[in-house]
Amino acid sequence: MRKTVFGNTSLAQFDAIVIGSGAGGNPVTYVLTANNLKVLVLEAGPCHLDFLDDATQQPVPRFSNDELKIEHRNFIEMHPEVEPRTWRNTPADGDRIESLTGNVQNLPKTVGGGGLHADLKMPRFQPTDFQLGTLLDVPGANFADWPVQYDELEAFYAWGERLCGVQGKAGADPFAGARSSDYPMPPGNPMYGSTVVGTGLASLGYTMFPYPTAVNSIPYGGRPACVDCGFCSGYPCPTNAKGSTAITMLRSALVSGNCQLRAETRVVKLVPNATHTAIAGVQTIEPDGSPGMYTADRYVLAASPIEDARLLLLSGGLGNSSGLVGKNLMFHYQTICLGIFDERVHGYRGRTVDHGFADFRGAPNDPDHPLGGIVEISGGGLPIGEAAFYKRILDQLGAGRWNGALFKKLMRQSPGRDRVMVLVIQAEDAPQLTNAVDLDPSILDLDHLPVPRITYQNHMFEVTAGQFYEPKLIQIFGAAGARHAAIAPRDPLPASQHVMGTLRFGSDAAASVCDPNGKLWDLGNLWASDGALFPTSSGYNPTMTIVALALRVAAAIVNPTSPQSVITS
Amino acid sequence: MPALTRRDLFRLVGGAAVLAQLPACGDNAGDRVFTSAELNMLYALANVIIPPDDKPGGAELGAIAYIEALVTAFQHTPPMIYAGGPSSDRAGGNENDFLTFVELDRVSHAAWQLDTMNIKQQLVDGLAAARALNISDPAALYDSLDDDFRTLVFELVTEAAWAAPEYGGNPNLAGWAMIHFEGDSLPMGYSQWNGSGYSERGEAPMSTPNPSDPEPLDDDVSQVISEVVAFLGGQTFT
Repeated sequence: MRKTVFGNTSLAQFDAIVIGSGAGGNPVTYVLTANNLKVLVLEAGPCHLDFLDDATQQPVPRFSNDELKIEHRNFIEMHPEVEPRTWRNTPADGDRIESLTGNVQNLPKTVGGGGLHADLKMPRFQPTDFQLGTLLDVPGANFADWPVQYDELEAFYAWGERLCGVQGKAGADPFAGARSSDYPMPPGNPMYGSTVVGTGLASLGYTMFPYPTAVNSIPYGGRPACVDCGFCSGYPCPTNAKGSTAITMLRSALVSGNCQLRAETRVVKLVPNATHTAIAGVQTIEPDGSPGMYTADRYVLAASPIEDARLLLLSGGLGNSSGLVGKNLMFHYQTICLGIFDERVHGYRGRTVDHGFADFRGAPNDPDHPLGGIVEISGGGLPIGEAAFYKRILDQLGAGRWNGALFKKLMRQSPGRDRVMVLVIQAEDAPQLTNAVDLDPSILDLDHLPVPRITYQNHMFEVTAGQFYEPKLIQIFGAAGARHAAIAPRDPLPASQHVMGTLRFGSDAAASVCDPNGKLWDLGNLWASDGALFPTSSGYNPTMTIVALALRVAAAIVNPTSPQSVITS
Repeated sequence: MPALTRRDLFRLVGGAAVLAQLPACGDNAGDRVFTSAELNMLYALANVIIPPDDKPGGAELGAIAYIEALVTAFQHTPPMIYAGGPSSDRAGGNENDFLTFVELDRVSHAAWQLDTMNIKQQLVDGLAAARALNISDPAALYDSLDDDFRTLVFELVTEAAWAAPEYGGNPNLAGWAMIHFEGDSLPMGYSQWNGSGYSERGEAPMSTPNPSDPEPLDDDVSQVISEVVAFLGGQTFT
């Protein structure tokens, strides 16, 4: 029988219920339980970390170096057949674009959430990233300052880096904000491919640095050093070398005796009190499909931005006096450049991304350096995906180009896996009121609930920045000795799975959904603690900032007047 | 081409090794999914996608066994959808955790029950439609298939060739060997912390170049890359 209840199973009364066990929920669970509050975590997905609540041993993951299972059979992600999402660019498209119904920015649905699938690149945002409302005036966009600035968040960044275990090199990124402490561990073993690309970057005057990642370069936190198995980006870690919040913070909470985790328990409705000023309980669907109900004094939304907004909308539009629930949805605007080398640079061996550079992050209002984002230097993919890539390109070259013998040669000589390196800009996506999540008017999921519908199109702000940097990416590969370089064509859906916004926080109740501490303005005991809070997207991977912000949200619950006093060494 | 039985196919794709990987799904007529004629056609199509030459073709790389394992996944408990973890015994592990398939949760069970049923039906319908085309040359038949069905067959054949062998294909790791891919690498990995630095595998280094290139780019592949790069508006450097 599969285990679905973890931790202190005898707990029946709770100080808080945390909805979601990813990078936004687990820091809250950790801080609250460490301060002796009793927490119930409700996670819609299954737990694939056996012994997660066993203090005597590390968890034993069911994850593996298995491309079919993880990338093509959705082991940890949502299943688009029974829990689809829908998409349209504008209302002019009608209810939805039918051909895009299904996998729309699906994130993992499992204990650990989106933090599991990432290779856990964990850079901080820059100080100016929190001030774009003041610094920018972009027609049609909805930039806003964060109610929390870098200086205040810095101590929470450092706390999160210690808890997860982040490798990096202080001072290596010339564009990074000030740090109060060094990274908890040094950078790991470099991949050959990034070293090759680094020669090109250096010759052009760009500064490559070891990517801050929550991957153990040395044994840390009772977990082993990474062995660079190669199945990293998109893959949950089979060795516990990645410091996801599940095996660090949630595990600590579960072994503390103050936490109960219920996996495969889907929250389907927040039930308000009679005056709609607070949450009285949550309705669930239990692992066997039966209905359930749980109550606590406080509730925390951390199910990811799209699902957070969907849950509020499924609950009758709670928390929406501003009219902004679901709005200002953002993804990073990725520009992807492929560099193909004559030699096998074997970019599939290692941590997928171990170096990057931030010269293309740019600066506000600088036409010579428009706001883009950090650039990941990435290895290639794995064979099943490689095969699909070759089919796609041969099909695109036109009828008659496909033949099996040529396909087999491509697989054996492997220009698309063994000889390729990839540069990916994670660029700022301008927030827009029209980019939003609502409920699809007719598509239902397995549990007969309306699925989330995304209405989204890019602003010229990010499109022009991407175009500005495209030739520079190609130039880098030329300088690095690649034989070919090309910008990957864009798909109809964003390439990024960095989902942000929908419940933005701010200092003005009329212009935000949540207050500066993450509490919904309209409800006295409901907080949000994940990327939904972000007013802007920055140009850096979001996970570290989600963790830092969630730690601060929890610290403010524990001590509203002095959140920083809650931080432990 | 002679009609193939399921036992014939297992022998072709590695016989005992593959049968040993698969929990008892039997060989009796009761659990037959495809007719001999359908198997024959799948076999031929697999070899169009990955033609046999000095290395195995798609059929020998386990396409039929893989497809049958997928569409009969729910005849087993737990269903053979997700191989276990964290590691096999192929890269330093003592036991093969992949052989213990993962129990499905409520949503995954519903999704995969639907998926496997749909895939089976698409195959039956697609093969019937293909037969009706009455084209004897397998390559011409493949080109004439309905786009969705051709894509499905392509996906299944390539998954068979390059997925872990516990799913029924890639016999004796022949698929991975053919493309010079080491496969699942745990617990060894490519780089191990030794207390003061990192040790790497000589035949598969991580931080340094390969000792040699087992199969350099030839003119055909170089030409395709040039065409693709030009199509994308990219740049070729001399």
